[in-house]
Amino acid sequence: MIDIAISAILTVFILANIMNLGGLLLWVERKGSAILQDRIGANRAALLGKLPINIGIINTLVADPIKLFTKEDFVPPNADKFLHWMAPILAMVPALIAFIAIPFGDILVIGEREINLQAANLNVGILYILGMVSLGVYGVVLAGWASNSRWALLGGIRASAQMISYEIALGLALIGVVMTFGTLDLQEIARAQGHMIGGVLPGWGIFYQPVAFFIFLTAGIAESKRIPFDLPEAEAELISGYFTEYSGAKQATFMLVDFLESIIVAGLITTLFFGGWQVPFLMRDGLHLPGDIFYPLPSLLVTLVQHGAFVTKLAFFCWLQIMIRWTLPRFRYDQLINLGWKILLPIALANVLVTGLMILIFQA
Amino acid sequence: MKRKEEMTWLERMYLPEVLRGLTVTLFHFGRNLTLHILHSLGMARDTKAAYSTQYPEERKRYPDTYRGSHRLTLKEDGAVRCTACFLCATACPANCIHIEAGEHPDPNVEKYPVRYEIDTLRCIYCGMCVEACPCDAIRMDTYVHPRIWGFSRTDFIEPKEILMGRSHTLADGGRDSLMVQMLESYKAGEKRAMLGDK
Amino acid sequence: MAEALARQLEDTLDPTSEVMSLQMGPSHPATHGTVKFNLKLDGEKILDMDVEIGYLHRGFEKMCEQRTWNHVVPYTDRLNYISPLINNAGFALAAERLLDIQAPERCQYIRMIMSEISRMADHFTCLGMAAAEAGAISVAFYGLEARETLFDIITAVTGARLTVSYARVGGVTQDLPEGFAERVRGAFKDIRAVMSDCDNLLSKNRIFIERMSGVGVLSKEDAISYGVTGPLLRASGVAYDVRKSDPYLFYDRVDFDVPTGTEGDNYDRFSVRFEEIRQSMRIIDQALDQIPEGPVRVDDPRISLPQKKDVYGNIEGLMNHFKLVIEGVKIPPGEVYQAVEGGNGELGFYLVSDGSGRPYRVRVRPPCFFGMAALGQMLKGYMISDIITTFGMVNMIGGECDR
Repeated sequence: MIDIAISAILTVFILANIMNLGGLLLWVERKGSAILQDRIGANRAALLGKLPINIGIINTLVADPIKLFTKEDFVPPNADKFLHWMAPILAMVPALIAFIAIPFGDILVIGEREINLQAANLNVGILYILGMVSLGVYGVVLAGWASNSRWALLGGIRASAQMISYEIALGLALIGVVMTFGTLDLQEIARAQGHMIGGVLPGWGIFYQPVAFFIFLTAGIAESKRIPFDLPEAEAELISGYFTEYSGAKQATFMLVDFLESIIVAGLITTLFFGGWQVPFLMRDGLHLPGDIFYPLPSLLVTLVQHGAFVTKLAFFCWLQIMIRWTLPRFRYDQLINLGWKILLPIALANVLVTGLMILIFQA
Repeated sequence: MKRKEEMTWLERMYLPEVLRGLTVTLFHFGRNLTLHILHSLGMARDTKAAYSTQYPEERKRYPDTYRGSHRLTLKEDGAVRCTACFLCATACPANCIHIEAGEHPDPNVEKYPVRYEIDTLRCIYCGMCVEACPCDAIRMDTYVHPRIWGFSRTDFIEPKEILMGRSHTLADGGRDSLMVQMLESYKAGEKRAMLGDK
Repeated sequence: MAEALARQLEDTLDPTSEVMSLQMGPSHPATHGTVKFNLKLDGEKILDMDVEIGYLHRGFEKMCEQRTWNHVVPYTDRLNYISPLINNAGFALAAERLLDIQAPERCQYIRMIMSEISRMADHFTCLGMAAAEAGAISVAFYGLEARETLFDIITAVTGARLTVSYARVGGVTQDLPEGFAERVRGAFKDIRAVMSDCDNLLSKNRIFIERMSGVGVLSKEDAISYGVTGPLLRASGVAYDVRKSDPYLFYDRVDFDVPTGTEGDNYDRFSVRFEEIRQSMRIIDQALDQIPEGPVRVDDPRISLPQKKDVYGNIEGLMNHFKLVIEGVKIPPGEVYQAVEGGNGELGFYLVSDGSGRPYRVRVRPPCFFGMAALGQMLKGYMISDIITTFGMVNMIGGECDR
């Protein structure tokens, strides 16, 4: 009974946090891009007159959502009303629930009880997340189909081809990681990264699987449909791609899904390649510095620091994706498919092969 | 001209060039963010963190040659200098100047404009009226841009009184005075619009 | 024609694939300047493309016939509204050629400098927007910064950002402000920084190169037969530049290169425009050294308005002023074609005068009109995404193309 309650609390905690993080990313994207482009960005809306320093939070996180959610919900004539209504939900749900398999801390000790800081301790965590991410394509394709617009249709088709092609590279990149750590459980993978290589270098996945990291980052950005892979919505080409015919809250949902997907990608990168919640030299009982120096720390503090480390890493990779989005031009459809099938896939396969050989060599 | 298109294998790898692009954007990001933070702490105010101008809190200073809103210049006694010769109306390529001439009560003054209106919705601010005026009666050196919103079309028609008033304001308050005045009228208008008062 | 072709194509295709007709524009984010493309698509591939222009038609040429010669100047501002000073200069030059006069040297240098500043603004807008549509929005904003720096200079000289109305028949409205040369040279420093940023972000980036190179190819022969000029033609490898081949103003007194491409694709167009910004800076640098002191309007009472002190002070000046304002400049009967190198190519003014003080006929050769004519040819067989980059590099300006 208590276990179920704890699970429920953790799940709600995760859902609430990543929803909020998604909203915050909207702010980072708008204000960050403004700073990057020598602009000022959104700063006009304020509650009860002007704030002393207006950094655009009210604009992006209060005023804009209110505007979006109170707009007319327009369904084009001859559109499939049910699917048109269904599509944003189909896109949203997998993106939301995928995150529950990602561990956001080690173990929280309350009294006698040890709580694993992961909403669902799945021993097939990676597969679960991949499955959920793949489900996201249905929402996009159905949105494109149900809108009864050729622009949306083109966007939907682009999205389906893109997401399916890049899932393969994504999956193969993960196979290398899975082979290295020998488990599909994300919490186990995070724990396995706690050691130090040669006493100084943290034993994070990126040092074992650097190639897989770049493939995963690329394919991950492609999965979350952001520049340079934002072809399904490429606003200069397809107006808004698959959600051209969406307005108001449904459009906001699609926008939020984009951010949620980039959070998942950032979460996976953090967990698989950057040690998840691991902080170098920080073990469960305290700080182990090189040269056998040991500072014991209370368990709660360690858990908090580790959780903070996870959030920081997550935020950094979300931010990095936004920076990339504002730096690069986008691919063309055929180039994107070429990149996926002719470049990323062979490299990922080679990576798997090399990883296997290395494992054989080191075990022998 | 040399085509840069031939890529070395490093450039074909995507990554180095992506990183090069990122250094540019990150440089801008870092510099501007630092400046923004310094500004909020009240430091380095004279280095701008953004190229854009936070109108209306800060404004660009219009150059001396700027063709702003019109004004009718005044004689020493405060009367309008215009003699209603219609040259400006003739010179106007947009036909936006409407003049009604009248006999002046003072016999020393031959004619004066009973009505002098500029329809700023038609006006293209080309400065040809200023060029055409034979008695320096109309000028555009007000350093204020045209009014851009109002509640009805008549809000944009500037009669003689407004045009002369600009000369008064400018003489009393200096170069920035008309700009300040316009921003105040916008604020008043904003309030009016929010209260739903027509 | 297009329908017949599409039907024919439809027959030759796989029966399961259907030709999709798609109307891109006129309110599409990429069809800025208001234009419509009627596309026949096989998947993403363009089978046929029909370009529909004319959404911004205002009857410029007919309007000019109702106006005195100087009244045409504000209309020319609105042709290519990003480089209005070139249009101003072109029209004034054509009218002066009809009058058979030469504007004073200083005025010609001013026109030349301002034309080049305008050209730079034009190229920055074109490159920035093309990059933005290819996805690299930051480049567009950096480009806009450079453009805004230039517009600030233009405002200081002419009194307005866009609707400059700077030229008059026989001169320009006012002299350059004080400290102009230093200001321009200072601005060049910022502009070079922006250019190096854009260079770092795009020129070697493989994504961008693949988007641009080999796309929208127009061969030398096709380019000439379509009558395409400007960066489009030069990208195809023809070193035709009105400034070199038929020098007007004092372009023969300055030293500059005409960059040409080799392939005639979008990457060449991009590079040509990029290089032309550098050449413009070179021209301005030299012109600023050469510019003499002197009047900026011809000293001819039949053409230029008299000095203000004469108008206020003596009756002859006043009469002359009245006569000139009311009747306008009287240009003797005749016809003339004067071409200038606009931002997008050869901008020609063909003027016919019947001696009445108003143009009898004005005809503009808008450079991007010809680019738009060639657009369908350039894009057949490419993909939807290529429309965006190619159309961006053709840089259609609605005000100029549709007139």
